[in-house]
Amino acid sequence: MLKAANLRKEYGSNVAVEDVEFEIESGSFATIVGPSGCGKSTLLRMLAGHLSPTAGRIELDGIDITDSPPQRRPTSLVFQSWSLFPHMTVAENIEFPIEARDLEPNGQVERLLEQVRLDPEEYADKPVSDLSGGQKQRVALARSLAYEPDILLLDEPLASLDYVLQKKLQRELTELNAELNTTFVYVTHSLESALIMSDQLFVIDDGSVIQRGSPDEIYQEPVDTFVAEFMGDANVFPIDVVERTDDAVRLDHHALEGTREFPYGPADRPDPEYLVVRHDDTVVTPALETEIGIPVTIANVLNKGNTALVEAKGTRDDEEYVSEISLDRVSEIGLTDGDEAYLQWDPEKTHVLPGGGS
Amino acid sequence: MSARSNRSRLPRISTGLWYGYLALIIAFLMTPLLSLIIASFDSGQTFSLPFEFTLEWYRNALTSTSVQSAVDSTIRISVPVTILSTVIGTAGAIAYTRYSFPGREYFKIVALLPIFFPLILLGLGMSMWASVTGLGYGIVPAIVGETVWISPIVMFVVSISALGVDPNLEEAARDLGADTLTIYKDVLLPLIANGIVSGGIFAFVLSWNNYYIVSYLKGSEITITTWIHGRMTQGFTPVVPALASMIFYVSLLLLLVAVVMELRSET
Repeated sequence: MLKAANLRKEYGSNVAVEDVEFEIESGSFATIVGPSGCGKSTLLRMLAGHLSPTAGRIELDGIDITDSPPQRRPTSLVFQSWSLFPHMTVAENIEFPIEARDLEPNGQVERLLEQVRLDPEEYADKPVSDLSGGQKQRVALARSLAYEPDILLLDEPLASLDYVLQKKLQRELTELNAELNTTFVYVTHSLESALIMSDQLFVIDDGSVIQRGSPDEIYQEPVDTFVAEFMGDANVFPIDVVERTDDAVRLDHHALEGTREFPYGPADRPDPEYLVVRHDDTVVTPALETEIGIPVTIANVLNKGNTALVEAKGTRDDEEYVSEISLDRVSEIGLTDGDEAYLQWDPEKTHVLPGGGS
Repeated sequence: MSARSNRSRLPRISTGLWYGYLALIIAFLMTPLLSLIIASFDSGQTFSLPFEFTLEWYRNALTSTSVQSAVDSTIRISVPVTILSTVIGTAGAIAYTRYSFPGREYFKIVALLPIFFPLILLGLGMSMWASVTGLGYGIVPAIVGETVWISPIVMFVVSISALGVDPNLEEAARDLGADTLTIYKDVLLPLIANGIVSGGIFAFVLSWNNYYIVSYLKGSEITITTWIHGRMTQGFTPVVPALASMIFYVSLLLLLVAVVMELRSET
């Protein structure tokens, strides 16, 4: 188990990572996700040993590794820019971590290349400058695995690849994680890869872990509006709290046709400030059919391929809202710009959340 | 339309400037060098027309004992200077480009400063310092003096290639279990090897051609450049242009090696 306790990094008066705590099960795939500059790369570099924390501890299976240097730490970092040794061949790159520890390469190159799905016959003796981005990424992965790390740290390694290749490598990384007995800690700003690949997810903003859990938990129950908006495009309605009990709250908003009670707790959670509903949890209909909805004027219908984004303006508050519905539905209702309609949703799909983030 | 004509006119102006620059280089740098070389092959005691080809002056230069001893002294200075300034310059370049430390920018300015001093003042200052410190004059002080001036130039040349190396590579190597020695031996030095060799060639050529520093510090030794300078002022013989041309051939050959290496590393 990889454990961080009160991990903190300051640069002068700037706190990059603020008292982060987490536990990651051995062999699992954990993703640290957050916007650019949230401190996630700093966190990863502390785990790798390239940065010393200002305070706190890092433990691996109960052993304190906070002060052990990178070359003696059972972690290996796959860099965003891959950082392959440009004067070496593919095989020499992969042999580097073996020889650096005074071991004899013994068939690992072939095995590792096969593991990252490169044909050893074809690639072993190629100079790395002849490789494409995706191939470099695979070699960087093989090289890190040649170090036989307990923890493989990945710093947005897919960021500079094209979309199709990203999807393919995401799948392969998940398979590799299942195959090996290695913990993967993956850092990304991309929500999609976080959701697809991870067993465990940490959402970070401003140097702190805001929410942790399985991707499903976080998607279904975002802890505040920052996480909700980060996890998917959503409409946000500012609300007024009328009454609050230990496990429920009564809210006032014109979408509720008066006031309405929602489950909300625990008692020490900050008061809710917003109703959040995802674009694809809403529908647009000519008449109000559910219990929650607002009158809108259709401003624009954008074809997204398999769905349509309906941009609408609230009749009462003049704010912009969006609903994502199927194309069939659009033609069924016959929506056109300027139409009066209702943007509505199932009360179950409503997230009542405190504010958060920047 | 107007944007288009502007675009086609700009290159024409810069092309003109470029050719003008080349013409000036040829007129003021190449032509004197070329006339020196032509003179070295002319049979007259002083260069005059008509031109009559001879290799006599080269033969004289190669057989003259005073020239041989000048070449010998020059090599005894240039070889140690090349080694020392390549080592010092490379270390400085690695420190400057691959590490961050307090005062890094000041380090660069102070280290590169000697390049910009007028050589004649640098030589004079060194001469005074040699006397004050008791270092004295001769081969060793000349080596020290030239190393002080040439090391920063090597540092500059090596820095250019060291700056082109991915800043994460040392970290990646360390991450994969390499200690500092392995990082230098297997990663950093091989990647900047071309820069170091170019720096070394520069160092040798600059030391080989150096006059001012060596003339202040040489004591009783006579090097090629001080020999030529001596014969220019008194006892001029046609061996002077022949020897001067020969030191130019050596420099040219080494610079060609440097250029070829540079081109090969780019492909």
